[in-house]
Amino acid sequence: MKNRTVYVLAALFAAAGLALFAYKVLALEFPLSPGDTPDNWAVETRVTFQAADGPATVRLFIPRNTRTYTILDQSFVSRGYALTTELTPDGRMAHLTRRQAKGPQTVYFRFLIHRSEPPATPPVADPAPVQPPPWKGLRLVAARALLDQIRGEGKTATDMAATLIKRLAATDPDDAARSLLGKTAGAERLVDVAAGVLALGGIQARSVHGIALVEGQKTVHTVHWLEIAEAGAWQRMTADPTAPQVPATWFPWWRGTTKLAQVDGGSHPKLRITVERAADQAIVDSLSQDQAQAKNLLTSAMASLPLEVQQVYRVLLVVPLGVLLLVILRNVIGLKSFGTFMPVLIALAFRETQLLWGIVLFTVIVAIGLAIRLWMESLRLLVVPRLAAVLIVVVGAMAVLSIASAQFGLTGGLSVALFPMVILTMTVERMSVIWDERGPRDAMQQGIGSLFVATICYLLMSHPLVEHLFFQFPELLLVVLAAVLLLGRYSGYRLTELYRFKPLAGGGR
Amino acid sequence: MEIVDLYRRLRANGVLGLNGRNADYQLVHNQRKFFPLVDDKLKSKRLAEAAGIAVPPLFGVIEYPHEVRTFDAIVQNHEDFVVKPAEGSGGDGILVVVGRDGAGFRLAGGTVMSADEMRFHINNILAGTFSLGGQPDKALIEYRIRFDPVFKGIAFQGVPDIRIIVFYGVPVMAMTRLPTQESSGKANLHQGAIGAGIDMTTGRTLNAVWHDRIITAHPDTGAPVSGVQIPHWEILLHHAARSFDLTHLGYQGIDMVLDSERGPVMLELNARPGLSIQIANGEGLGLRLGLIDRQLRDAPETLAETEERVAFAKAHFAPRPSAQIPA
Repeated sequence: MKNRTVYVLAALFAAAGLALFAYKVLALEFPLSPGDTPDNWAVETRVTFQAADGPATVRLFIPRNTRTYTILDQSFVSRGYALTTELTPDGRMAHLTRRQAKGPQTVYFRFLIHRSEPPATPPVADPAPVQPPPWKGLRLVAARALLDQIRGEGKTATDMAATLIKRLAATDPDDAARSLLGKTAGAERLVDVAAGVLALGGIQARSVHGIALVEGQKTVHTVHWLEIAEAGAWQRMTADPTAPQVPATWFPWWRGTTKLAQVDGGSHPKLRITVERAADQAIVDSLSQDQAQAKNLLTSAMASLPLEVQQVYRVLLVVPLGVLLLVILRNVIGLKSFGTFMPVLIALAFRETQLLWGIVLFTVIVAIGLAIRLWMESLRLLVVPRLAAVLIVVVGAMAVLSIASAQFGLTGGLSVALFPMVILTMTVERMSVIWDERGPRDAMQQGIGSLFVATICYLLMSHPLVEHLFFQFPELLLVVLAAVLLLGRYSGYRLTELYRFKPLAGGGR
Repeated sequence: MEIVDLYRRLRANGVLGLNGRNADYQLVHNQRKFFPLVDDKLKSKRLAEAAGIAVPPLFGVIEYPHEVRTFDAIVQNHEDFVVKPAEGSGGDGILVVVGRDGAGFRLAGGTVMSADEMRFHINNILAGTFSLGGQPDKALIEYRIRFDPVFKGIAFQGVPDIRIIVFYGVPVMAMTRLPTQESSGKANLHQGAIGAGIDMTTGRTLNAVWHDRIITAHPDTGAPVSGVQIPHWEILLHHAARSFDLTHLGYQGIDMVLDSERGPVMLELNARPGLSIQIANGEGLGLRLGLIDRQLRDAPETLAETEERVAFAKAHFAPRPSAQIPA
């Protein structure tokens, strides 16, 4: 019969999917589990200033790849500003210019860093002519005096640098150090001065500035250290003589005495940097792309896509599994829910809102919508305008919920905006028709059933292992398809029917 | 395991589940192109009329919103009538008007509906509120059945109907659906109506099922619902046997009512008849369907004529002793 075609098709799909899956796991050694969260960091720099009604320029250093850090993605968000970049001896610099700027201005610069294990050997320092600092007069004299002091005591370049930093960082520095550092000397000024003094002595040294990649900081302060070329390698040293070792979390951003950001044609410039750990597996996937040798288009099709598209497929590829679960819950278990795929779409929204908030928000919005929809019955509106009115009510309820939860500082409530409003509208409409025709009990029963199915779908679809498997092995879709085909010809009882038809189970064996 | 055992016993008794009905009967024996004949009550009404099966006389059809104002003219000469969506399912959207109350209409449930509310209801029907998939629909206004006095004690308001499952023209199983107070006069089991199985040979009611529970007396009136002789049983069986020739749907249900003046009248056909009929009869559909299937394979010519189909049903589908569950 027709069943045989279905069985053969299902077997073919399942075999093809499993064969490719096995090949990738056994021969290409694709990992079966998602592994640790990747060491990725999202950095956002915000420059604000008051423009002086004329041309304005913001100059910002752009970080570059090192052996430890890879810049994955960078973008400027600055309306009306034109971007050019320039290579300076201290690093690559972005120029954001605008011909006419007035009032408060904001420029965002965002980038994503991936950190890998730092190599054991220090980076190679290519010999380069040493640029003496542009100091004159008293400062030059002071620098020379300092240089004489450290020369006498130290031998190697690093030893000299260590001694210099100790003198500069002393709680009671001598006159020479004080005249170079000025009154308020932070670490930034200190390493700049140290690099200058060393350069004056013919030692290849530079000050490096960056940020510490640490979780949970509200506003990030810059960190500064010194790099000294010795025996063809860069040796690193902090401005703190008690802890000279540069931590592995310090990310180098720019070098030299220039500030990170400068503003021309504006006043009150302000700089704010935020750092956040980005749990973003897709990025590492794309990184490992060129490392993998045996991977071709068939086996690593997903990794060849741009990052944002990968993000989309990360979600899309688990939807079929949610739908399979829905088929099982409906056709094998016998649960009732609104709409065929509505619970899966609600489950997708739960991914953004988190489960508890998702259930609360869904219930509140549907309850509000239902109350208004049931009252609307007395207005006797025609169907399409009525649906439109319910949709507007749903959107309004979403907005009110967002505003209310923002007032009370409940960030979870803000995510209500991610609910599919059309799905909510149709849920309200169908629930109200059932309420009118079959009574509140049936309506509540199906509403709770839908929410229950959505919750189970969410728990399955948001599992990291499931997400990893379906993203790394999209061929598993064939297996899901095979399962759905087989379920399509399942003619046995649903679990709920066993109880419904229980009275008929007596008699003949 | 208890569940596995339950599953096996149900299967052995030939009980049909929703998946089984859909996968093995509805999808296999019913061609999709014939579905509109049963999904649209206006079409099935015309087919039945052409074949000589009585149907409730049609007073009028409203298809477009601007025609709603013709409603008053349609019902002008009728004290009572029924308004129903042509493609409604599960009895939703059906209004039974039993009389007038000034400018308003008195409904079967006892409530009064204003003319305004009636127009709103018809507009809702046209917009597809009650139709499958929500597509635009037509509103039918037709004769209200005055049911046969035989049902007096066992039907609370509303019209009791008789459903017969038909497989390639052979009546398979039958039940009568009796409205209750809870079902507000409607004959739909999921709305709280009673279903009573019918002995195919004699036309007498067997046990009854209410909310998937077996009962023997009407919950509102207390009258016994078992052992009632359905009048015109022969004609009902003949109508059922001929319904296959109207629609060419191998597996379908036919819903009929007994009008005190017109006798058996066909209300509608159904390509996906519900499965509670099995509980009402205390018997699964599967064994009977299998018997017909074998007969159709071995000797299809013996089931070609209406008389032969009815005779086959009466000969083979007497209730099993176990179907008579002691009260």
